[in-house]
Amino acid sequence: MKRKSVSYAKWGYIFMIPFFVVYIIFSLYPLIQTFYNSFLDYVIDRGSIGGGWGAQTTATETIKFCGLDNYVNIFAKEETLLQSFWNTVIMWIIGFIPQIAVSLLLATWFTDLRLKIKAQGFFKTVIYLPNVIMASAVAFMFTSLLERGGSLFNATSWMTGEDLSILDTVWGTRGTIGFINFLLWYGNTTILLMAAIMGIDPTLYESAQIDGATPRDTFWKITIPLIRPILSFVLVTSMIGGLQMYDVPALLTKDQGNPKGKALTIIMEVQLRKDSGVGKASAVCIAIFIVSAILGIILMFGMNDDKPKKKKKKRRAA
Amino acid sequence: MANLKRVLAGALSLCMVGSMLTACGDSSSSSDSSSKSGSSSASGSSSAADSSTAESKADRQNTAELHGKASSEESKKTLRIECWNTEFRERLEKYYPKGTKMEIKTNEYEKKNDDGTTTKMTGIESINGVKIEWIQTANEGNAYQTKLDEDLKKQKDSDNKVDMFLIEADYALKYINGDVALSVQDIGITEDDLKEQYKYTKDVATDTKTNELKGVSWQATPGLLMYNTKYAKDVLGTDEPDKVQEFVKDWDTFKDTAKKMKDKGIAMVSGYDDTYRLFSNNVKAPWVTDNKLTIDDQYKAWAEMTKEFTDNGWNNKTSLWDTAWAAGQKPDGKTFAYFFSTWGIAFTLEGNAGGAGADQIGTWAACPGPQSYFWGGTWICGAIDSDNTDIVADIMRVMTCNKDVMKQITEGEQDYTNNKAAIKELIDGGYKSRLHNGQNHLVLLSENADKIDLTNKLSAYDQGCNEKFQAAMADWYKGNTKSYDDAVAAFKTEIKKLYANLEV
Repeated sequence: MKRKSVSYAKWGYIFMIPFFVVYIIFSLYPLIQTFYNSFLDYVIDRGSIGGGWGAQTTATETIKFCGLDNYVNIFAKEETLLQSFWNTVIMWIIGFIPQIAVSLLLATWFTDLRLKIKAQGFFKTVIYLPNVIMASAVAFMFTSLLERGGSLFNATSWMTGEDLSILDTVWGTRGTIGFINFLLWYGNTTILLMAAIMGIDPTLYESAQIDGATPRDTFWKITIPLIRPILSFVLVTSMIGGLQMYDVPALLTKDQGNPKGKALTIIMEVQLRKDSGVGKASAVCIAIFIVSAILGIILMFGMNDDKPKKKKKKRRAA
Repeated sequence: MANLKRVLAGALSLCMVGSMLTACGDSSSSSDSSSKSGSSSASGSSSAADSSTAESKADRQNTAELHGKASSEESKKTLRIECWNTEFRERLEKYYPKGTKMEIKTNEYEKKNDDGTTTKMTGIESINGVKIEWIQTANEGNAYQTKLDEDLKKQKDSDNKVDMFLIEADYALKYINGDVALSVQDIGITEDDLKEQYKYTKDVATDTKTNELKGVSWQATPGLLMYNTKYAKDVLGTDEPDKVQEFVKDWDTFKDTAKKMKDKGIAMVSGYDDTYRLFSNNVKAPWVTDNKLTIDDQYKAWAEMTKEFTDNGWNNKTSLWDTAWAAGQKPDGKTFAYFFSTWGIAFTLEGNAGGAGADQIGTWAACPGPQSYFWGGTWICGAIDSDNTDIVADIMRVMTCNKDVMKQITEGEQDYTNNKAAIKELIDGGYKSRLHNGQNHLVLLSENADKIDLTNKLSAYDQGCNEKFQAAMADWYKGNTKSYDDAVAAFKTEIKKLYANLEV
């Protein structure tokens, strides 16, 4: 039987080849290389070009195998990696909480059967627009608005209590970075959540309403449980994107991560080190890799559980 | 089946996490591949400094002879110049034909301006039948240095040779002390050719191990103190440069004047970093000696003075180039003094003041200020193993040693050129600037330029050290860091990340 049927599977594999080729060359190989580098005491002297013109060769780099030393060193007391990790997490949370709240609200309103909001296409476009602008442009705009002499300087500097821009204070900087990330991503999240909500069978809402459910009931008891897979997807991608946070804080703090290094993210840390302390920079990368992987796995098994779905199906069938 | 799905999903999400992290993996591995050429021999010699100090004058490498692979015919017919903007190109195209005996063939090309328009330019297609090829890489994010390093490391084994490259003072020593730039004497430039150049421009491009000059510049960039004459008249009772100089002649009188300005609601200087170069040009030792970081007393003095200025409200708490910094340069900008070098007066101050005119740039005048310093500048180097050293030498001679050409550049471009005789002729010819009362500030510039001495003041790590020091100190001025020592500790942590080979 099996031999006679035509297998289309091989076409699937053939069409997947380009992806895997690109993935192996541009993602997997560098990843393995990074793993390897993280075990090396690999230091480049940026103040020297090297030489090797005559009998004597001048090296600009030293490479030695050092086992797990880099991992021990990056978590040493005088290092800033843990601080950078917390900075990143805090700035991500500042952006993510309003992002998910506003997106859920907007997605519910746009999909509500009774509200019937007009000109939805227009609003959806407007909401999505910030995401189209380059993050660097938005960061630049906020810098020029908030910096000394910028047009919002006088309106915001009262918050610092002194004659300083809010970008000169720890929470002002973190808040601004979180706000920019919120502004850039809430549109994207809204669209995703709307797609998820529209996938829910509308008869569920109708019957709930007939049974006397309020909009709040339908939101918490129908919408939220049924869009959990998408919610966890949003959470995981946003978290991983959050850990990679780089362009906005780098531009807003002019690559310094100040005040007091409290706006320095992990990737900024990597960028700062990569041209000289290659071994340590690689170890930092691997550390983030492990953290992201762990968080991803926890979330996947914790949230993407399909038990509630099955229960619902059974109940409906009954 | 559900299990399989779960495993598959898990594997895919791991892949996704992995691919998201490739940004860092990629960059570290690419820097690895670009420097691979030296890696095999690296374990042998512990660091660059060890072997370079061992080098004596006897076995010097930077001669005009060929060291590596012979170049191809095509490379011999091409003059390859590495640069980061079009400034030198435009100077060369406009002034080089006027001063050379070489046979020049010109061509027309279109230059793209920042605003999207194009300008027709007359370019140089070839010199003595050798084509010119410009390799332009933007300066941002170290891109230019990365590209230059790559090309110069390949030079030995490549048959397509780079002939010339441009460098800036902040990282000049990296190339000058490395064996990649030709000694200019070796390609036929004599002491006599160089005698009218300012000493500091030679200090920047002199190999600190062998004392050979390896780069030359067509411009000198000494700085002056620019002051607002209206405020000078109001507060100090005079706006004449000689008399105003008495109020800013050293840092103590400078502070007294700051107090007087503050009483009238005027800031003495705009922000934190304005005075930085005056101190950093007068250090006793460079940032880095033998791979060890030292913080000179001058840097501490700068930091402590700036803290005093900030706490007393003697500055406007701005940072270089920001909106408020530029706004202070307007005639009623409530800021008394700015420090500008030659190019800053014409290209920055004049624009920010509102253009030419008696009540715009004309409100500003210049005096020497408390200390002499320089800011900026570009140096030309001949690349080792260049196959067109005769043309490289001729360009250097015409563009940086020829008095008439340099006089024309100053007149045509408002550039302060690196030729004492040319400047002297301009001063004697009654040069008038657009500053207050047409002040002839060239006199002051040339006096200041003579005073600058950079012997043993530069290291190859200056760019990063200056940037990180200013950033760490700014945190202290703003009250985020408690003390100078804390700020220094933060600075050292950053330097360890930026230059992992240094001992801090």
